[in-house]
Amino acid sequence: MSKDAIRVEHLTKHYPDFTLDDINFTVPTGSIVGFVGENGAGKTTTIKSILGIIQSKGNVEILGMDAHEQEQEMKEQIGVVFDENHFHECFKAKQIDTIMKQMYRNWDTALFTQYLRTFQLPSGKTIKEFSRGMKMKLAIAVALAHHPKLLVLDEATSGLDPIVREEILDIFLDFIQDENHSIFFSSHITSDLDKIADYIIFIHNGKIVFNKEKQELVETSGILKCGKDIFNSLPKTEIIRYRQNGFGYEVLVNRVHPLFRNHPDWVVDPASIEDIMLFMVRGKMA
Amino acid sequence: MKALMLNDLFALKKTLIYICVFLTVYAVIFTDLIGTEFITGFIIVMVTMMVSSAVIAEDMVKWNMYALTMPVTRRIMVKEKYFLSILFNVCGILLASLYGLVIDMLNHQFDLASYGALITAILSVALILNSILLPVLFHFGGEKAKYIMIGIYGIPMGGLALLGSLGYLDGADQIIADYGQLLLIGLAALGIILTVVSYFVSQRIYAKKEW
Repeated sequence: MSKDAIRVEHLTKHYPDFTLDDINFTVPTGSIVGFVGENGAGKTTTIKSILGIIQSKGNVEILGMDAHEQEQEMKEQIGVVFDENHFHECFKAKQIDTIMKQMYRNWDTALFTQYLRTFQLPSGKTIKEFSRGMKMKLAIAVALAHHPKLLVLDEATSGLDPIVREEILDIFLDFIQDENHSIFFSSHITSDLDKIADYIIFIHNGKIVFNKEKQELVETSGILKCGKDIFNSLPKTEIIRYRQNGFGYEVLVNRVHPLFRNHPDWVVDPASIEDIMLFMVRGKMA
Repeated sequence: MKALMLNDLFALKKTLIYICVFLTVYAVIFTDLIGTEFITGFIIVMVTMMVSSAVIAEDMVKWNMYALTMPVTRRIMVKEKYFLSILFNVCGILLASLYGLVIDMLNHQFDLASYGALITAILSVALILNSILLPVLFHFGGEKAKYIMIGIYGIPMGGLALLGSLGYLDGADQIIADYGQLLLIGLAALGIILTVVSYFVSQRIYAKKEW
């Protein structure tokens, strides 16, 4: 049995104008893996493929279970949150509780009620009367209230204000305190992943570009700002990506490489996940 | 499956109440004007169409896609809709029977046996129409299928009305009088057979559906 919460091997999906191309990655148990990419990169396609919402080729194992052969058992143990509400708008929280009690073996009404209280979600209002943030919090309450081992979040914080996003991220950090719990979190809001992710997987045009520990990524990635002379003197192997502007060059580099320690006069700023993403998408290769 | 049924019934709760009130008012006002046969047909068709309303309502919020992240399979989702269809058919029979009983209490010349045959005939037609409609809904989704639905229900009725007005159904009364029982059994059997075929077609469609 795999010790990974999610194991994806050779995941492939073809559309006329887009291909998810041989995706391979794992989500280690006990970790938060951020899945980042620009709009249309393939994040949602990947998640839908993993969950069996769309047909695809490849092997997917979730919590050690084959995602197709043991579908029902596997889904008892996962909670999924999308970026939109999918309950009928005439529903109230009580009706959702009644439905989910029949849906999940481990549905915990007391826990659901507790989350509703924590999120300040009114039980007497219909979903139609909820704000976007409230709908998202409701979806998260539903995802958490059956004691899942894995949360799969597809742009779950998109369109939310910073205060609500902070609240939600705190809930996820709480969830991960149990080392048997894991989170797979797709987002293009890289600041959220900066705060909570342990690993970052970057997808671009249907391909995985990198899959690294966030700490390592942030500690080693740097942006060198330089003129043409310095740029031309750089070994091509040290240029991950570069951009040219009116003032010179911005180069994404491995800032712990001895080359940069030997040139303390060279300005190398730390790169955030957003910077890395921008360079990987819009930068050029040497 | 219970969870899926509850989801549909909660979603349709208001609609069901409106329909019951509407049918009651309609029956009270129009029974004498247009006859019990039309009202009976109307009751059964309105109730049996509710399963289509359930599918369309689900599509609007993409509930099916979300439900697939929960411990249900595509097979169970299709099974639930057919089970719901049977449930609404039973409700249709009960409501129509209730209506018939009320008419019988008010008008003691009411022929309950013929009325039973009428319910069976209308229900069989509703089964046939639903057996065509459900796979269409599963394949195209609620939004696109709305127009196809109008065709599936409207074309047979419109066609019959047109044939009747052109005189092509003039001999129909005699045929029904001579072969009524056989026609009824045949219609009921056709409704059941098509429903079973429709179920398996829907399973195949849903197995490949993507959201």
